[in-house]
Amino acid sequence: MTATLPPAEPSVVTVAGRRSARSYATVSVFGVATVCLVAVGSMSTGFLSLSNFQAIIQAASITGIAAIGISFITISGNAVSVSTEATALVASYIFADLVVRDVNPWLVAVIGIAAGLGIGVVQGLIVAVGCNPIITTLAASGLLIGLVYWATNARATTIHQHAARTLGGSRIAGVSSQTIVFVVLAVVATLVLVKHRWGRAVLLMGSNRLAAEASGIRFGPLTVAVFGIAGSAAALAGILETSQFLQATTQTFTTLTFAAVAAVFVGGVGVTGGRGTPAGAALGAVFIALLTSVMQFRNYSLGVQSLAIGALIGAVLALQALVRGNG
Amino acid sequence: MRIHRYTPQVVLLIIVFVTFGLLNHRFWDTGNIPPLLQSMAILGLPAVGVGITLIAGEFDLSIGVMAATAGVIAVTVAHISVLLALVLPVVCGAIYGAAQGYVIARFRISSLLVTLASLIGLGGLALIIANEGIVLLPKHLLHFADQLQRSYGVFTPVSLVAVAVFTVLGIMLTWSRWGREIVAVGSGRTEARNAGVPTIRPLVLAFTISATTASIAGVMVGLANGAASSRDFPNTLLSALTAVLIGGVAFDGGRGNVINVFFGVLVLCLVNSGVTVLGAQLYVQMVILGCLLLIVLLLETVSGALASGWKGLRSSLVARRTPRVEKAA
Repeated sequence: MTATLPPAEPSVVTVAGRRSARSYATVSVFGVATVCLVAVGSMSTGFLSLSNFQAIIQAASITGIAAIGISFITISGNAVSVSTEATALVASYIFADLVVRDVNPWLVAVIGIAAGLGIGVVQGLIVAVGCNPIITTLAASGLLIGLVYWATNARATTIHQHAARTLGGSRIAGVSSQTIVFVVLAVVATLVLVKHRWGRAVLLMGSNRLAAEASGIRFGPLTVAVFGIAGSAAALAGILETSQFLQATTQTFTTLTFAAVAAVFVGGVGVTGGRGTPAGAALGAVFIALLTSVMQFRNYSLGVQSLAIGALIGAVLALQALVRGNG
Repeated sequence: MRIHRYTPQVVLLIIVFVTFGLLNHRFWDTGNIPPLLQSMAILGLPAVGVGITLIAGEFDLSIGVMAATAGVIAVTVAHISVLLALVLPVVCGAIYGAAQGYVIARFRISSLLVTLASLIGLGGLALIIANEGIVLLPKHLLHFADQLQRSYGVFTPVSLVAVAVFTVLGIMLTWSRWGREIVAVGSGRTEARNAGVPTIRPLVLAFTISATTASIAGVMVGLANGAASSRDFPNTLLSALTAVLIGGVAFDGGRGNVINVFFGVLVLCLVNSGVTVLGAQLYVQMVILGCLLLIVLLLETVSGALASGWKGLRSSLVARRTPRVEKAA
């Protein structure tokens, strides 16, 4: 049976008034939510401090970097990638295993990111050929994680070369290196998406693939590129985390995939593509970190925290549905 | 020449069966059959659920967590009543699944995101109920757990339940109107809607089935093991999806049935069994699963020969290139 392509959702070019109303509604809800969260948090001692603020941003950094990468995939209309944990894990062990052999950490970082890029590109190629992105990345995730377990026998690698800590564990002017990387990446990625021609091609591909292909943008190379970006970002996140703790373990990134995906969607990137920015994904990560921090200060258990984040995603979905007019 | 519908699966089955047997003759030992059926049942229940949501054109990420949560609830309430432990989690699961399906259908929200939220939220719920640890069956009920593990011929209680569930679902999917609605809604949501097929009911049904079968699996495994935790069923999603796709259910929806799921589960469990007989570690299975899934994916997408009897491959290739996310119509 011939399935017609579903009607494209207009986003980039919309009736200006309606679009601003949408954006204002969403932004204001999040603004109010943030204020409420901070208000609740401030009831706990120690919450309203510079060090806690820095801790929140730092907690958001690793997830946020991965989320920025995934946002490119989602914005391009390729749904989402669930292979973040796997890619970060591979990069993490590459970093650890090479650094303990006294290879220069910066060089190793480049190698690790290149590995992430390669992993992303391969997945992108498979998706470009026509395979579903979710299943592809799910399969890649299983394959890679299994390989890592196999190759390392599930053993952790500890780094003794303290020079390796500079990458992910140092501070410049009091700000952690992870935060700097996170913020810089968010800004650069958003500028590329919004200002650069290629970025706008990604947006168009996500919002209306037929129109994009009709104007000469090819799905294949673009898809490979966005998956490559996501893979590199995941690898970077993995390397920074490993560098900070000077240890690579198999359990470090078990929550990373879904945390990053959640951040992307909480941050306003639409699952159908063509909407949102990497900055949004970054803010989504920060918001979740803020929520988590408030809960931690109130001594909520891990279970409650997960429940709350799940509920948060549900609320965001409901909000988006309302704004879309489907309620 | 028209190839029989299940030829690829049968061929794959033969290859797997022969290869692993040649690698280690113990693989062909008939004593392996009861554990094989058991593992098929434990995987098959969530798999048929995922398969049906896939046929309906949607995606359920939450089956593993649902099973774990059901197991935790079952073991926790078992000290009150065994009957309650058997029934309550399944009923709760069914209600939750129906709610998920309703939200997805009525508000046209991506099932990917809704079930992602469930995945995270339910995981939290399970952690809370289990007090972040493992819940254990009280000692006086351990004999019940043993009974659940006993074999009746080649079958165990779990595999018997699975057989019953598969039969019921198979009949429903193929011969009942509700089943046909599910297939219609998966083949072309807009077309179905335009043709007057209700879209809410089949989706609610599909997600209810998905949550219920996962819950049944969770309950039976939890009670049989005498212990449950929120970390149970970690690889279920990947395994069930792989099984379903290997078995021939199309990822685009609208194609496939319980027999496909059965074949896929059989192949997968044979592979796992073979790997275990060879003495390899658990993570080797993950690697093989990942490879199998990628191969099946690529084959299904690129090769027309594998699509025996699937009409309109060209147009479905085009449709397949649009990722499985329902845009707001």
